[in-house]
Amino acid sequence: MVTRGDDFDDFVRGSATRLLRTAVLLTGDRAAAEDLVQETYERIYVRWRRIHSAPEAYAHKTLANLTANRWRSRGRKPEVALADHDRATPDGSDNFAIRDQLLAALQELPPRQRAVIVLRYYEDLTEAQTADVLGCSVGTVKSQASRALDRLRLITEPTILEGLR
Amino acid sequence: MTDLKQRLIDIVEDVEAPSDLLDRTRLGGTRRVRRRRSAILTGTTFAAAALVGGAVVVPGLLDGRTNDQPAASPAPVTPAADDPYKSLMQGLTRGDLAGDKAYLDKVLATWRGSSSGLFSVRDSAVTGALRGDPKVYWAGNTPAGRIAIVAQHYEVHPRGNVKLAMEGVYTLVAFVADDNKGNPSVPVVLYPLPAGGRLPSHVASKGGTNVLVTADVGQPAGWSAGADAKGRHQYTPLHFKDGVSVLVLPASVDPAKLSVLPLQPR
Repeated sequence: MVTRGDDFDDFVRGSATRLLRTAVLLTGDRAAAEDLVQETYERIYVRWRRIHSAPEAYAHKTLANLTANRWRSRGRKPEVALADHDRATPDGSDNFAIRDQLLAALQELPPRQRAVIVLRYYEDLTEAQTADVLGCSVGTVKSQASRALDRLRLITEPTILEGLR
Repeated sequence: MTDLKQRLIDIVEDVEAPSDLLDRTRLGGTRRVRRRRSAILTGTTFAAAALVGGAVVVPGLLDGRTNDQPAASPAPVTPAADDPYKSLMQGLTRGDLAGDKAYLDKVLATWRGSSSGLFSVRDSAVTGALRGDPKVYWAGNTPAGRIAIVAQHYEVHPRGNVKLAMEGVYTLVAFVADDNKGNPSVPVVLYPLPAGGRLPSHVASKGGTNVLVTADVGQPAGWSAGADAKGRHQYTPLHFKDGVSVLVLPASVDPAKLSVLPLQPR
Protein backbone atom coordinates (compact mmCIF):
# COMPACT_ATOMS: atom_id res chain seq x y z
CA MET A 1 0.00 0.00 0.00
CA VAL A 2 1.29 3.45 -0.84
CA THR A 3 1.58 5.67 2.18
CA ARG A 4 2.31 9.35 2.38
CA GLY A 5 5.85 8.92 3.62
CA ASP A 6 9.22 9.89 2.31
CA ASP A 7 8.13 9.96 -1.31
CA PHE A 8 5.48 12.58 -0.59
CA ASP A 9 7.94 14.59 1.48
CA ASP A 10 10.56 14.33 -1.23
CA PHE A 11 8.07 15.51 -3.82
CA VAL A 12 7.10 18.55 -1.75
CA ARG A 13 10.66 19.44 -0.91
CA GLY A 14 11.76 19.01 -4.49
CA SER A 15 8.96 20.94 -6.12
CA ALA A 16 7.85 23.54 -3.56
CA THR A 17 10.07 26.42 -4.57
CA ARG A 18 9.37 25.94 -8.26
CA LEU A 19 5.63 25.68 -7.68
CA LEU A 20 5.66 28.71 -5.40
CA ARG A 21 7.50 30.75 -8.01
CA THR A 22 4.91 29.76 -10.58
CA ALA A 23 2.16 30.76 -8.18
CA VAL A 24 3.80 34.13 -7.55
CA LEU A 25 3.89 34.78 -11.28
CA LEU A 26 0.26 33.75 -11.59
CA THR A 27 -0.99 35.86 -8.69
CA GLY A 28 1.53 38.65 -8.27
CA ASP A 29 1.06 38.19 -4.53
CA ARG A 30 3.51 36.18 -2.44
CA ALA A 31 1.12 35.56 0.44
CA ALA A 32 -1.68 34.44 -1.85
CA ALA A 33 0.77 32.28 -3.76
CA GLU A 34 1.83 30.52 -0.56
CA ASP A 35 -1.77 29.84 0.34
CA LEU A 36 -2.48 28.41 -3.10
CA VAL A 37 0.61 26.23 -3.06
CA GLN A 38 -0.17 24.87 0.38
CA GLU A 39 -3.72 24.08 -0.68
CA THR A 40 -2.37 22.41 -3.82
CA TYR A 41 -0.12 20.16 -1.77
CA GLU A 42 -2.89 19.38 0.69
CA ARG A 43 -5.04 18.16 -2.20
CA ILE A 44 -2.15 16.12 -3.53
CA TYR A 45 -1.68 14.66 -0.05
CA VAL A 46 -5.28 13.46 -0.04
CA ARG A 47 -4.95 11.83 -3.48
CA TRP A 48 -1.38 10.68 -3.15
CA ARG A 49 -2.13 6.99 -3.61
CA ARG A 50 -3.65 7.61 -7.00
CA ILE A 51 -1.27 10.22 -8.35
CA HIS A 52 2.07 9.45 -6.74
CA SER A 53 3.51 8.12 -9.99
CA ALA A 54 3.05 11.48 -11.74
CA PRO A 55 2.29 14.19 -9.22
CA GLU A 56 3.75 17.08 -11.21
CA ALA A 57 0.95 17.18 -13.76
CA TYR A 58 -1.65 17.01 -11.03
CA ALA A 59 0.11 19.83 -9.18
CA HIS A 60 0.02 22.07 -12.23
CA LYS A 61 -3.65 21.38 -12.85
CA THR A 62 -4.60 21.92 -9.24
CA LEU A 63 -2.66 25.15 -8.95
CA ALA A 64 -4.16 26.44 -12.19
CA ASN A 65 -7.67 25.60 -11.04
CA LEU A 66 -7.20 27.14 -7.61
CA THR A 67 -5.76 30.27 -9.17
CA ALA A 68 -8.67 30.47 -11.59
CA ASN A 69 -11.10 30.12 -8.68
CA ARG A 70 -9.30 32.93 -6.91
CA TRP A 71 -9.64 35.14 -9.94
CA ARG A 72 -13.32 34.36 -10.21
CA SER A 73 -13.80 35.16 -6.53
CA ARG A 74 -11.89 38.40 -6.83
CA GLY A 75 -13.85 39.29 -9.92
CA ARG A 76 -17.00 39.50 -7.85
CA LYS A 77 -15.45 41.76 -5.27
CA PRO A 78 -14.14 45.24 -5.90
CA GLU A 79 -10.52 46.06 -5.29
CA VAL A 80 -9.86 48.65 -2.63
CA ALA A 81 -6.98 50.93 -1.93
CA LEU A 82 -5.89 50.88 1.69
CA ALA A 83 -5.60 54.63 1.67
CA ASP A 84 -9.35 54.88 1.16
CA HIS A 85 -10.14 53.72 4.62
CA ASP A 86 -7.11 53.84 6.81
CA ARG A 87 -3.70 55.35 6.99
CA ALA A 88 -1.11 52.74 6.43
CA THR A 89 2.02 52.49 8.49
CA PRO A 90 4.80 50.69 6.67
CA ASP A 91 6.56 48.39 9.06
CA GLY A 92 9.24 46.76 7.00
CA SER A 93 7.60 43.36 7.18
CA ASP A 94 7.03 43.26 3.46
CA ASN A 95 9.30 40.33 2.81
CA PHE A 96 7.42 39.31 -0.25
CA ALA A 97 7.80 42.37 -2.42
CA ILE A 98 8.28 41.60 -6.03
CA ARG A 99 9.20 44.81 -7.70
CA ASP A 100 9.46 43.99 -11.30
CA GLN A 101 7.74 45.79 -14.03
CA LEU A 102 7.09 42.65 -16.01
CA LEU A 103 5.33 41.13 -13.02
CA ALA A 104 3.09 44.18 -12.85
CA ALA A 105 2.46 43.88 -16.56
CA LEU A 106 1.57 40.22 -16.16
CA GLN A 107 -1.09 41.17 -13.65
CA GLU A 108 -2.66 43.39 -16.30
CA LEU A 109 -3.29 40.38 -18.51
CA PRO A 110 -6.55 38.47 -18.42
CA PRO A 111 -6.15 35.40 -16.19
CA ARG A 112 -6.15 32.84 -18.99
CA GLN A 113 -3.53 34.72 -20.97
CA ARG A 114 -1.38 35.13 -17.88
CA ALA A 115 -1.59 31.41 -17.16
CA VAL A 116 -0.59 30.55 -20.71
CA ILE A 117 2.45 32.82 -20.53
CA VAL A 118 3.59 31.43 -17.19
CA LEU A 119 3.04 27.79 -18.08
CA ARG A 120 4.56 28.05 -21.54
CA TYR A 121 7.48 30.34 -20.89
CA TYR A 122 8.30 29.79 -17.24
CA GLU A 123 7.25 26.20 -16.68
CA ASP A 124 8.38 25.21 -20.17
CA LEU A 125 5.25 23.19 -20.82
CA THR A 126 4.43 22.35 -24.40
CA GLU A 127 1.33 23.76 -25.99
CA ALA A 128 -0.36 20.40 -25.55
CA GLN A 129 0.62 20.18 -21.89
CA THR A 130 -0.54 23.74 -21.30
CA ALA A 131 -3.85 22.95 -22.97
CA ASP A 132 -4.24 19.89 -20.76
CA VAL A 133 -3.52 21.86 -17.58
CA LEU A 134 -5.93 24.65 -18.51
CA GLY A 135 -8.58 22.35 -19.92
CA CYS A 136 -8.66 23.98 -23.34
CA SER A 137 -7.56 23.25 -26.88
CA VAL A 138 -4.08 23.67 -28.30
CA GLY A 139 -5.51 26.27 -30.64
CA THR A 140 -6.75 28.27 -27.69
CA VAL A 141 -3.31 28.11 -26.11
CA LYS A 142 -1.75 29.41 -29.31
CA SER A 143 -4.20 32.26 -29.71
CA GLN A 144 -4.04 33.22 -26.02
CA ALA A 145 -0.25 33.22 -26.09
CA SER A 146 -0.22 35.42 -29.18
CA ARG A 147 -2.66 37.90 -27.66
CA ALA A 148 -0.80 37.89 -24.37
CA LEU A 149 2.51 38.70 -26.03
CA ASP A 150 0.86 41.48 -28.01
CA ARG A 151 -0.59 42.95 -24.84
CA LEU A 152 2.69 42.66 -22.99
CA ARG A 153 4.37 44.61 -25.77
CA LEU A 154 1.75 47.31 -25.41
CA ILE A 155 1.79 47.66 -21.64
CA THR A 156 5.47 47.32 -20.91
CA GLU A 157 8.12 49.94 -21.30
CA PRO A 158 10.65 49.67 -24.13
CA THR A 159 13.31 48.06 -21.96
CA ILE A 160 10.91 45.31 -21.01
CA LEU A 161 9.50 45.19 -24.50
CA GLU A 162 12.79 43.97 -25.88
CA GLY A 163 12.84 40.25 -26.21
CA LEU A 164 9.11 39.72 -26.22
CA ARG A 165 9.10 38.38 -29.72
CA MET B 1 11.21 33.74 -26.18
CA THR B 2 14.39 32.99 -24.35
CA ASP B 3 14.47 36.57 -23.12
CA LEU B 4 10.94 36.35 -21.83
CA LYS B 5 11.70 33.11 -20.02
CA GLN B 6 14.81 34.65 -18.47
CA ARG B 7 12.84 37.70 -17.37
CA LEU B 8 10.23 35.51 -15.73
CA ILE B 9 12.99 33.56 -13.99
CA ASP B 10 14.56 36.79 -12.79
CA ILE B 11 11.30 38.01 -11.27
CA VAL B 12 11.02 35.08 -8.89
CA GLU B 13 14.60 34.03 -8.42
CA ASP B 14 14.58 35.24 -4.81
CA VAL B 15 11.38 33.38 -3.95
CA GLU B 16 12.01 30.30 -1.84
CA ALA B 17 9.46 27.96 -0.33
CA PRO B 18 9.07 28.50 3.42
CA SER B 19 10.77 25.91 5.58
CA ASP B 20 7.57 24.96 7.34
CA LEU B 21 5.55 24.37 4.17
CA LEU B 22 5.85 20.61 4.43
CA ASP B 23 4.71 20.63 8.06
CA ARG B 24 1.75 22.83 7.24
CA THR B 25 0.90 20.70 4.25
CA ARG B 26 0.92 17.52 6.29
CA LEU B 27 -1.26 19.04 8.99
CA GLY B 28 -3.67 20.46 6.44
CA GLY B 29 -3.66 17.28 4.40
CA THR B 30 -4.32 15.23 7.50
CA ARG B 31 -7.34 17.34 8.31
CA ARG B 32 -8.61 16.97 4.75
CA VAL B 33 -8.26 13.20 4.87
CA ARG B 34 -10.10 13.11 8.17
CA ARG B 35 -12.90 15.27 6.84
CA ARG B 36 -13.22 13.11 3.73
CA ARG B 37 -13.40 9.93 5.74
CA SER B 38 -15.89 11.44 8.12
CA ALA B 39 -18.08 12.52 5.25
CA ILE B 40 -17.81 9.15 3.51
CA LEU B 41 -18.50 7.11 6.59
CA THR B 42 -21.23 9.16 8.12
CA GLY B 43 -22.95 10.67 5.12
CA THR B 44 -24.20 14.11 4.50
CA THR B 45 -25.82 14.52 7.89
CA PHE B 46 -22.48 14.61 9.60
CA ALA B 47 -20.92 16.69 6.88
CA ALA B 48 -23.62 19.32 7.19
CA ALA B 49 -23.32 19.35 10.95
CA ALA B 50 -19.56 19.70 10.76
CA LEU B 51 -19.87 22.69 8.48
CA VAL B 52 -21.93 24.55 11.02
CA GLY B 53 -19.82 23.40 13.91
CA GLY B 54 -22.36 20.85 15.01
CA ALA B 55 -21.71 18.54 17.88
CA VAL B 56 -22.48 15.33 16.08
CA VAL B 57 -20.10 12.69 17.35
CA VAL B 58 -19.82 9.37 15.63
CA PRO B 59 -18.80 6.72 18.18
CA GLY B 60 -15.66 4.95 17.21
CA LEU B 61 -14.75 7.48 14.56
CA LEU B 62 -14.32 10.73 16.38
CA ASP B 63 -13.77 9.69 19.94
CA GLY B 64 -10.20 8.64 19.35
CA ARG B 65 -10.75 4.91 19.17
CA THR B 66 -9.81 4.84 15.51
CA ASN B 67 -6.72 6.76 16.42
CA ASP B 68 -3.74 5.48 18.30
CA GLN B 69 -3.43 8.59 20.39
CA PRO B 70 -5.14 8.97 23.72
CA ALA B 71 -8.13 11.26 24.03
CA ALA B 72 -7.78 14.66 25.65
CA SER B 73 -6.56 14.40 29.17
CA PRO B 74 -7.25 16.82 32.02
CA ALA B 75 -3.71 16.37 33.33
CA PRO B 76 -1.63 19.56 33.37
CA VAL B 77 0.61 19.96 30.35
CA THR B 78 3.52 22.25 29.68
CA PRO B 79 3.70 23.89 26.27
CA ALA B 80 6.92 24.21 24.33
CA ALA B 81 9.03 27.23 25.11
CA ASP B 82 8.51 28.59 21.61
CA ASP B 83 4.72 28.16 21.66
CA PRO B 84 3.54 31.55 20.34
CA TYR B 85 0.00 31.12 21.69
CA LYS B 86 0.82 29.84 25.18
CA SER B 87 -0.17 33.12 26.83
CA LEU B 88 -3.76 32.52 25.75
CA MET B 89 -4.01 29.65 28.22
CA GLN B 90 -3.15 31.90 31.16
CA GLY B 91 -5.37 34.09 33.30
CA LEU B 92 -9.11 34.53 33.49
CA THR B 93 -11.48 34.73 30.57
CA ARG B 94 -11.68 38.25 29.18
CA GLY B 95 -14.35 40.11 27.26
CA ASP B 96 -17.77 41.49 28.09
CA LEU B 97 -19.28 37.99 27.99
CA ALA B 98 -16.70 36.55 30.37
CA GLY B 99 -19.32 36.43 33.10
CA ASP B 100 -21.98 34.76 30.98
CA LYS B 101 -21.53 31.21 32.22
CA ALA B 102 -24.32 29.79 30.08
CA TYR B 103 -22.70 31.14 26.94
CA LEU B 104 -19.23 29.99 27.96
CA ASP B 105 -20.56 26.50 28.68
CA LYS B 106 -22.20 26.46 25.28
CA VAL B 107 -18.96 27.59 23.65
CA LEU B 108 -16.96 24.86 25.33
CA ALA B 109 -19.55 22.22 24.47
CA THR B 110 -19.47 23.36 20.84
CA TRP B 111 -15.70 23.23 20.78
CA ARG B 112 -15.58 19.78 22.33
CA GLY B 113 -18.11 18.49 19.86
CA SER B 114 -16.22 19.93 16.91
CA SER B 115 -12.73 19.05 18.05
CA SER B 116 -13.14 15.45 19.05
CA GLY B 117 -12.02 14.20 15.66
CA LEU B 118 -8.88 16.30 15.36
CA PHE B 119 -5.77 14.30 14.57
CA SER B 120 -7.75 11.06 14.16
CA VAL B 121 -6.07 9.88 11.01
CA ARG B 122 -4.54 6.47 11.19
CA ASP B 123 -1.94 6.63 8.42
CA SER B 124 -0.75 10.16 8.90
CA ALA B 125 2.95 10.80 9.20
CA VAL B 126 2.05 13.18 12.00
CA THR B 127 0.41 11.94 15.16
CA GLY B 128 -1.29 14.29 17.53
CA ALA B 129 -3.88 14.67 20.24
CA LEU B 130 -5.54 17.37 22.25
CA ARG B 131 -4.12 17.79 25.73
CA GLY B 132 -5.61 19.18 28.91
CA ASP B 133 -8.81 21.18 29.09
CA PRO B 134 -9.86 23.92 26.69
CA LYS B 135 -10.09 27.45 27.93
CA VAL B 136 -12.20 30.35 26.74
CA TYR B 137 -9.59 33.07 26.39
CA TRP B 138 -12.02 35.80 25.38
CA ALA B 139 -15.74 36.08 24.81
CA GLY B 140 -17.54 39.20 23.74
CA ASN B 141 -20.09 40.95 21.63
CA THR B 142 -18.88 42.40 18.35
CA PRO B 143 -20.66 44.12 15.47
CA ALA B 144 -20.68 40.68 13.81
CA GLY B 145 -22.29 38.99 16.79
CA ARG B 146 -20.93 36.99 19.70
CA ILE B 147 -17.39 35.72 19.32
CA ALA B 148 -15.42 33.48 21.63
CA ILE B 149 -11.77 32.52 21.38
CA VAL B 150 -10.99 29.07 22.71
CA ALA B 151 -7.46 27.88 23.36
CA GLN B 152 -6.31 24.34 24.06
CA HIS B 153 -3.03 22.50 24.17
CA TYR B 154 -2.29 19.82 21.63
CA GLU B 155 0.67 17.56 21.13
CA VAL B 156 2.15 16.50 17.80
CA HIS B 157 4.94 14.12 16.94
CA PRO B 158 6.20 12.84 13.61
CA ARG B 159 6.32 9.24 12.58
CA GLY B 160 9.25 7.64 10.84
CA ASN B 161 11.70 9.99 9.25
CA VAL B 162 9.35 12.94 9.06
CA LYS B 163 10.72 16.14 10.55
CA LEU B 164 8.50 18.76 12.15
CA ALA B 165 9.49 22.34 12.77
CA MET B 166 7.24 22.37 15.83
CA GLU B 167 7.13 19.11 17.72
CA GLY B 168 5.67 18.67 21.18
CA VAL B 169 2.98 20.54 23.07
CA TYR B 170 1.62 23.75 21.59
CA THR B 171 -1.55 25.78 21.83
CA LEU B 172 -4.18 25.92 19.13
CA VAL B 173 -6.84 28.57 18.83
CA ALA B 174 -10.45 28.08 17.79
CA PHE B 175 -12.82 30.90 17.01
CA VAL B 176 -16.41 30.25 17.97
CA ALA B 177 -18.99 32.46 16.28
CA ASP B 178 -22.75 32.41 16.16
CA ASP B 179 -24.18 30.88 13.02
CA ASN B 180 -27.16 32.37 11.23
CA LYS B 181 -29.47 30.74 13.77
CA GLY B 182 -27.60 32.24 16.69
CA ASN B 183 -25.94 29.01 17.74
CA PRO B 184 -22.20 28.89 18.41
CA SER B 185 -20.17 27.15 15.73
CA VAL B 186 -16.48 26.74 15.03
CA PRO B 187 -15.57 28.36 11.71
CA VAL B 188 -11.83 28.07 12.07
CA VAL B 189 -9.11 26.34 14.08
CA LEU B 190 -5.63 27.84 13.89
CA TYR B 191 -2.36 26.14 14.62
CA PRO B 192 0.72 28.21 15.33
CA LEU B 193 3.56 28.50 12.85
CA PRO B 194 7.24 28.73 13.74
CA ALA B 195 8.49 32.06 15.01
CA GLY B 196 4.97 33.34 15.58
CA GLY B 197 4.37 33.56 11.86
CA ARG B 198 0.61 33.29 12.15
CA LEU B 199 -1.45 35.47 14.42
CA PRO B 200 -4.72 34.09 15.80
CA SER B 201 -7.22 36.15 13.87
CA HIS B 202 -10.53 35.61 12.18
CA VAL B 203 -13.00 37.66 10.15
CA ALA B 204 -16.55 37.23 11.41
CA SER B 205 -19.40 38.39 9.23
CA LYS B 206 -22.97 39.33 9.95
CA GLY B 207 -25.41 41.31 7.87
CA GLY B 208 -22.72 42.55 5.54
CA THR B 209 -20.48 43.68 8.38
CA ASN B 210 -17.03 42.11 8.51
CA VAL B 211 -15.13 42.23 11.79
CA LEU B 212 -11.49 41.26 12.18
CA VAL B 213 -10.91 39.75 15.61
CA THR B 214 -7.32 39.12 16.62
CA ALA B 215 -6.15 37.68 19.92
CA ASP B 216 -3.30 39.48 21.65
CA VAL B 217 -0.35 37.12 21.91
CA GLY B 218 1.99 39.82 23.15
CA GLN B 219 3.45 41.14 19.95
CA PRO B 220 2.64 44.13 17.75
CA ALA B 221 0.48 43.20 14.81
CA GLY B 222 -0.81 44.85 11.69
CA TRP B 223 -3.30 44.26 8.95
CA SER B 224 -3.26 44.86 5.23
CA ALA B 225 -6.21 44.97 2.89
CA GLY B 226 -4.16 43.20 0.24
CA ALA B 227 -1.16 43.55 -1.98
CA ASP B 228 -0.79 46.42 -4.38
CA ALA B 229 -0.05 45.98 -8.06
CA LYS B 230 3.56 45.26 -7.27
CA GLY B 231 2.74 42.62 -4.71
CA ARG B 232 3.53 44.83 -1.73
CA HIS B 233 1.54 45.08 1.46
CA GLN B 234 1.29 48.06 3.76
CA TYR B 235 0.35 47.15 7.28
CA THR B 236 -1.69 49.27 9.66
CA PRO B 237 -1.12 48.51 13.36
CA LEU B 238 -3.86 46.72 15.28
CA HIS B 239 -4.79 48.11 18.66
CA PHE B 240 -5.40 45.57 21.41
CA LYS B 241 -7.75 46.13 24.32
CA ASP B 242 -8.78 43.61 26.94
CA GLY B 243 -6.85 40.89 25.17
CA VAL B 244 -8.12 41.35 21.65
CA SER B 245 -8.31 43.68 18.69
CA VAL B 246 -11.80 44.06 17.26
CA LEU B 247 -11.71 45.97 13.99
CA VAL B 248 -14.73 46.66 11.81
CA LEU B 249 -13.49 46.37 8.26
CA PRO B 250 -14.61 48.87 5.65
CA ALA B 251 -17.24 47.37 3.38
CA SER B 252 -14.89 47.62 0.45
CA VAL B 253 -12.29 45.32 1.98
CA ASP B 254 -12.23 41.77 0.67
CA PRO B 255 -11.65 39.44 3.63
CA ALA B 256 -10.10 36.88 1.28
CA LYS B 257 -7.27 39.29 0.55
CA LEU B 258 -6.73 40.38 4.13
CA SER B 259 -3.34 39.79 5.68
CA VAL B 260 -2.55 39.96 9.39
CA LEU B 261 1.07 39.70 10.43
CA PRO B 262 3.39 40.44 13.34
CA LEU B 263 4.91 43.84 12.79
CA GLN B 264 8.29 42.82 14.10
CA PRO B 265 10.02 39.52 14.72
CA ARG B 266 9.37 37.83 18.04
